[in-house]
Formats: sequence, C-alpha cells, structure tokens
Amino acid sequence: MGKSILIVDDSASIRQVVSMTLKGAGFEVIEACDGRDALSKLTGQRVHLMISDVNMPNMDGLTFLREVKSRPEYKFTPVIMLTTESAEDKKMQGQAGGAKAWMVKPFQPQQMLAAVNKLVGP
Amino acid sequence: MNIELALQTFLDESRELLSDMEQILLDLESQPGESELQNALFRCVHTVKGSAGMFGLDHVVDFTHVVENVLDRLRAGEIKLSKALANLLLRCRDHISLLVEVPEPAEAVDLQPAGNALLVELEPFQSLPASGNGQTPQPQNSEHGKGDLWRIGMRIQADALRHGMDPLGFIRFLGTLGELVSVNTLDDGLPRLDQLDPEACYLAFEIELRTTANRAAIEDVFEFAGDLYQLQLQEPGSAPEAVAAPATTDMDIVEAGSREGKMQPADQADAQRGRRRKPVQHFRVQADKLDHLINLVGELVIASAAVSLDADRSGNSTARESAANLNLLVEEIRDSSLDLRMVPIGETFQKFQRVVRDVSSELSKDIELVITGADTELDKTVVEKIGDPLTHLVRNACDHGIESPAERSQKGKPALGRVHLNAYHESGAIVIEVSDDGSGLNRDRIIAKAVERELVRADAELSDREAFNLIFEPGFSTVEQVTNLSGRGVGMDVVRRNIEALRGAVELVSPGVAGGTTFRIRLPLTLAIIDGFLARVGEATYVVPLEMVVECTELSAEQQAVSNEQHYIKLRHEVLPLIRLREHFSHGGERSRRQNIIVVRHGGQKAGLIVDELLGEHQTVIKPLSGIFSHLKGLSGSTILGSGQVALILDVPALMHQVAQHEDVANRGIHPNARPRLSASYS
Amino acid sequence: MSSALQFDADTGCITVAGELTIYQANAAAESLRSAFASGSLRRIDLAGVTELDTAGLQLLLMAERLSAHGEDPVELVNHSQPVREVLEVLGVGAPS
Repeated sequence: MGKSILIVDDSASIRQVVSMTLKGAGFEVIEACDGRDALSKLTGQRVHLMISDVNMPNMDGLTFLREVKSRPEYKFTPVIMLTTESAEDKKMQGQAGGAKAWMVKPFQPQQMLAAVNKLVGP
Repeated sequence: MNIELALQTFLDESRELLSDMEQILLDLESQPGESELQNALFRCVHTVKGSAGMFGLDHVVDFTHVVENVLDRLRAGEIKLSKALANLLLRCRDHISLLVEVPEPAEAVDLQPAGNALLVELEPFQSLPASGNGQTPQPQNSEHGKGDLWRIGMRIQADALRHGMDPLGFIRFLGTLGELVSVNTLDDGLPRLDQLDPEACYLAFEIELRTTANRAAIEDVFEFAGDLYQLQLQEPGSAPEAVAAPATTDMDIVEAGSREGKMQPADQADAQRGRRRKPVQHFRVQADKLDHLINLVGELVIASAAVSLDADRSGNSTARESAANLNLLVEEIRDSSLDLRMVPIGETFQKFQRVVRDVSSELSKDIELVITGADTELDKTVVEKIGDPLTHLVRNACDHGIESPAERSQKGKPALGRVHLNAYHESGAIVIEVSDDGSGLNRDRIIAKAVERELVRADAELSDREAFNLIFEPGFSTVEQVTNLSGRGVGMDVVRRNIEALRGAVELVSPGVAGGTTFRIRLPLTLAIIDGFLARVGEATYVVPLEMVVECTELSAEQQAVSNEQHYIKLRHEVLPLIRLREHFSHGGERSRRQNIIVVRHGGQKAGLIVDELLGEHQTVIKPLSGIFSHLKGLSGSTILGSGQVALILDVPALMHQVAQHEDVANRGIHPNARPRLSASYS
Repeated sequence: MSSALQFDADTGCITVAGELTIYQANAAAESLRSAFASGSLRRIDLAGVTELDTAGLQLLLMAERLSAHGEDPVELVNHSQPVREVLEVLGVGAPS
C-alpha cells in the first residue's frame, strides 16, 4: 500500500499534474480544491504528507494549516505549502508558524516529487 | 501520465480564470481599492502562471509573471488602479488568453512583439525589472566527471520532528544525489530517559557523500526545510574535521538550535520589508477580545457609579471629589473603548456597488450608485446587522423607485437613474438614507391599497408621512406586477422589524432628497450603551430608551380616574393607548397615589406607559437578560444601577405590539393583524 | 496508526507492535520508563515494528544507553525489516 498524500489547490490542473506525478511514483493521492474541502476529506485516515496552496478561496492555506495541525491525528504530518515569489506570500510565510516547508510556484512535477521523497521517502 | 488530459484541464481552467479576470477588472472600476477583488484578481493570474509553469509553458509564465508582479503591488496598495492601468491590464488579459492557447513555447514567437510592447507599458508599474520566469533553479551537476567527497554536518532544531521534517527522509534523499559513504549519528544530545521529550529531536548527523552535484544542489535538498536544519558543508579536498561537533552536555544542541531559530535572517528580512512598505496604521484585534473589554468597561461604569453613591452618602468631601474624578476618567475610558468598535460605514456601502450593478442589469435599467458619508462611523455590531435591511432597500429603490429607461426619457429625465446612499450623525444616532431619483410614491395608490388590505379605514385622515409609512405594514405591497426581485416574499415589514431589533427606526419620505423617495434609517451608534429614562413601579426600576421618550408628565386626578377605567387616555387632543406596567409585569402592592405617564413613540405610533415615579435620565450599559427574566415579553435587557440594584430595560416596540393585539379592534377600524394603529387616526 | 508496547515483567521483554513514530513516541516513552523502573527490563523485541522514524529511533538509542549503565544490558532483538532499513541508512548499530 502506497503512502497517502493530500493535495489542496484551487487549480484543477495543478491538482491533476501533482496527482498524476505522485500516483506514478506509487503514492495514493487525495485531492481537495480548498481548505474547507480538505478538512472535510480528512476523516482520521493516515496521511503521510499534505501539500497545500496558500492562496485559495473559501479557506486559505494558512487557515487550513492551523485547523489541520490542531487535530491530533495530523499534528505531526508534514505540510508543504505552495507559495509564490510575491511579497504578500512571503509575508505570510512569516506568519505560518506550523509550516516549515515551502515550495515556490511554478515548479516542475519532478521538483515536487523530489520534495515529497525527502519528506516521506521514495 | 496523460499530459494531454491535464493540458485540456489547464486550458479550460485558464479560460475561466481569464474571464473572471475581465469581470473583476470591470468591477474594480466601480469599487476602486476593494481588497477582496484585488486579491481575486491577483489569484486569477497567479493560478494561470502557476499551472502554466507545470506544463513548461514558459511563454505564458514569462509574460504572466510580470502581470502578476504588478497585481501583487496593486493588492499591497503600492500602486492604484487608474483607468489607464485598468485598460492595460485588460489588454494583458487578452494577450494571456492568446498565449495559453499556444501549446509550445517555440510556437509563440508570433505573439512575442505584441507581448514585448505590453511589457514595456507594464514597466512603470513594476517594482523590479522583469526577472525571468521565477523558476527555482534546477540542481546542476558539477563539471567534474567523477564524484567528490563532501562532508555534511547537519544540526536539527528540536521541533523538526513535530513539523514532520524527519532527517531520515533528507538523508535518504541525499543518497539519491550520489553515494552515502558514511552516516554518523550523533546521539550525545540525548538527555536522560526521565528528561526526554519524545517528540523533540536530539540527534545530529555527520554525513559523507560522494557526488557529482555541486554545493547549490546539496543545499537545495534542505532548502524548503527552512530554519529547521543548519548545514555545514565542507568542500571536497579540504581537511576533514568535525563540522557538527557533538555537544558536550545533554541539551546543548537543542538549545543552540532553538536560540538560533528565534531570529532567522529570513524573519529579519520580512520584518524589514514590512517596515519599509508603509507605516503601520492599523492592527487587527480579535473581535471577542474587544467585546470582553467592553463588557469589563460596563462593569467598571457600574462599579464607579457605586463608588460615587457611597462617597455621596459618606459626606466626606475628599471622597466625593475623588469619586468625581474617577467618574470622569471612567467615562473617558468608556467612550474610548466604545470608539474602538466603531467602524466607518463605507465598506458596507461599497458592497452595494455590485448589488446595484447586478440589479440594474437584471432589470435592464441604467443605474448608478452614489455614496456619501462613507466615513461616518458606527458600532461594528450594528454594521454587521444592517446589511440585510439595506440590501432590501437598495434593491427596492432600483426595482420600484427608478423608472424604466423609456419612462425616464418620456419625463425628460436622464436615462441614467441614481441611487444614493448617505450617512451622517445626528444627535447621538446615525442616520442612513437610501434615496432614488425615481418617480416617488403615489399617495392615493398607497391608501387605496391599504384600504383594500384592510390596514386602514377608508375614511381615515392620514398625513402624507403616515400614508407613506403604511408600506411598512405586514402584507402591504404596491407593486401590481411582481418582478423577479420583489417576488421573494420579503416585505418592508421585515425591514422595519430588523431595524427595530437594533433599536432603530425607519421612515419613508417622498419626495425624497433626490426627488424620488428616501428611506431614512436611524440607528443608535452603539448597542452596548443606552441613554435611558428611569422610572419606578412598586419596588422595581425600569429603563425606557430615551430616544423613544416623547414626554413625561404627572397624571391629573381626572386623567387618573379615566385611565383606571379605560385602556386609553386623551392627552392634548391625542388619544393614547395605555400600558400599565404595574399590571403588565404583575407587580403586587398598591398603586401609588400619584401616577405618571411616559409618552413613548416608536415606528410612528405613540403610547403611554403608566408608572409610579419618574426618576430621570440615566446612561447605562446593557447586559443580556439572565434566565429568570428572559421569558418575560416586553423586556430587552437589564442593567445594574450604581446602588447595585437591577433595572430592567423595556422593549417598547414589543410592548406596543402586545397592547395593539389586546385593543378593541372594531372601535378603531384597524384589521386585527395590523400593527398598532396610527395615533393620528384617533383624533 | 497506533502501536503498543507490551511489557512482560516475567520475561523482562517489551514487544513492540505496529508503528513506532512520533505519533506513538509519548506513550512509548512512558512504557519504556515504567518498564525500566520495574528493574526487570531485559529485552525489546522489534519484530512487530512496521514503521520507524527518528522519534522512534531516539527511543531505541535511549533504551540501548540504559543497558550500558545497567547490570544486565537491555538488548534490541528481532529487528523487523523497517527497523533494519533505518539502522542501515544511519549506520547505527546495524544488526548482523
């Protein structure tokens, strides 16, 4: 059974590419289109890694991060935040206490896979 | 992987986002500076760029990167959306929509000249010169043919594991760059078992890696682990020495790590960036902290009143003086803290730009919204609750107030109708006006309708004002044709009820300030404090909101006799329904010899409250009713007097409504379902 | 996603079943403490470990260190494949 990864992004194409890349590498992937959607899809199952966009409608990435980290079953799950080089996003990085991993968009699928492998192993 | 499928998704998504972008740019013209819109605008381009980058569509990325940069500055408030910039951005949008349809960067050469021209135009709005496509550099292999031996020292912050940044993963990954010659796990940092925090990381590592990768590529492995890892890289060929020397005492590594973590260079840079951008003018406070403060201030006001009372009783002049000083300060604190919750109404008003835009296109009318008095401040809690009634009034003004374009041109009016939102302060209240320059109300039609609906008797003599305000009666509607907008089952009576729930009032004036009709809403500046009039009934003290008090007077013996028999009284040619608080709240005891009447007015109606004694004005902090009182109708809250006694705040509208239901309906020609009738029709 | 540390006071053996990661670290440390306090801890059987991370590894290193000071060394035995894999990568006391 492959390790399970959650991808949260409001862009369907990013979700699709990330999802295909990760599935191709043997991971199981859960997709969600925003923070709220993601929270509803996390029902206590084991998730090895979460990848979340910052800037999303309904529930942004930082709020999602805060919410998910408050759940005991996901407290220690690594989260990669997808960000941009914009000043606003950089400022947000400073505010995101629970996030230590940031990946700047745009990225190549292989870069994502590498990051995932660092955190949860190949 | 099926790239075609994903590419199609990208195309669909981009088209949608670009169409959103167009709409938002148009909306921003009427709502300049609306931050949610600016964020949404940024997100459109940002998402297109992000997705395009994943497909290697560099021609899209290169161009959108510059546009994104400009939009980022726009949402940060560094630049303004001028007409010229809006037009330029619209043209950029069109260009992006051409770019995304081109599947290969090489095929986009035809579009290059147009793109470059736009980039030149964008230049003045950019903070930095266009900086390529913003891609993270790919790991580059060094030119050395065979691998070099790197020594890597890894120190890890204590909370790395809690963040899911397990060193195991990173070490395994290093192995993919070449060959892990040796890994030395330094466990000297481990404390004794009874001092162990099992979730903290105590380990450090020394790694020998043989790889062809260069320094940047190795550092890149740890790049996104941020400040959790401190690396020491030893160049190949230099003398091997312990780079991550084991700490001698148990906690050293951890503490050193976390100390360094306190102020990372990145944090400093962020802080500086924040300072440079603009002077801090606001900071956010959690709303419930503010509410808590205001509650405390309420208690303080009461406590201070008690101190004054005691000081007065003591006859000690020094104590009295101190208490008076204290009182003054407390009043200032009260005003300042209530002021913290005051927000300008402008933001609420701005939301109606969209409402008017939508409604007018729905109705095929041409309507503009004019806003004045946006700086007028009122309590946040009032602002939150006024949105719905205002929406209804604004929609109503567009729907029923403004005539159709044909009708307008017939009357020689400009085709462009106008809805005006205005706010101002007036004697301790805020007044909000919704006006239109439409045709105004037809008095005869309203009265005819009211008679038909049995809301008023055909022979009732009504002033214009009374007639117009009939439209707030339940079940009233003057529209013969139910339009899309009004057919939602929400009437003006609901608007009035909502506003009255905020201790406010609404009235209608026609012709209004702009010629058509004007709805005028009066609201208290804050819901936390009430100016009240105190009255005693038996042992109990009641507070009547001062804004509803018309006059207070002692009843003459004759009036008293009459009022004992009847449910109404004639006071200076006006017949008033009476509410005897003693009976209403079932106070026992004897009626006092002298009785007083407080005449109250609400929603165009008047009534007389019979009390034992008038105690005068009193400003007080409203507290919610505790359980034992909450079932009582006619009370809206309670307060504590300086003496420590509880006073009950009367809910005058509810009292008047109750009385109306008990009234002898036949006698007054009013339908039993109607609200209390207008006092004027008694005369 | 849970593991259980069972301590059998008669044999002096802790058996670990399931994951030994940061999610179980607090509970596992507690079990280790009480087993050690009983004075009869001799062995930790790792046959049932399905996953080991750095937090889990720290506990095992800790346990070995306990043995170094005790009269009867605490032994780590029956390393499961996931445990071997971690120890091999990190070059710490990979079992023969």
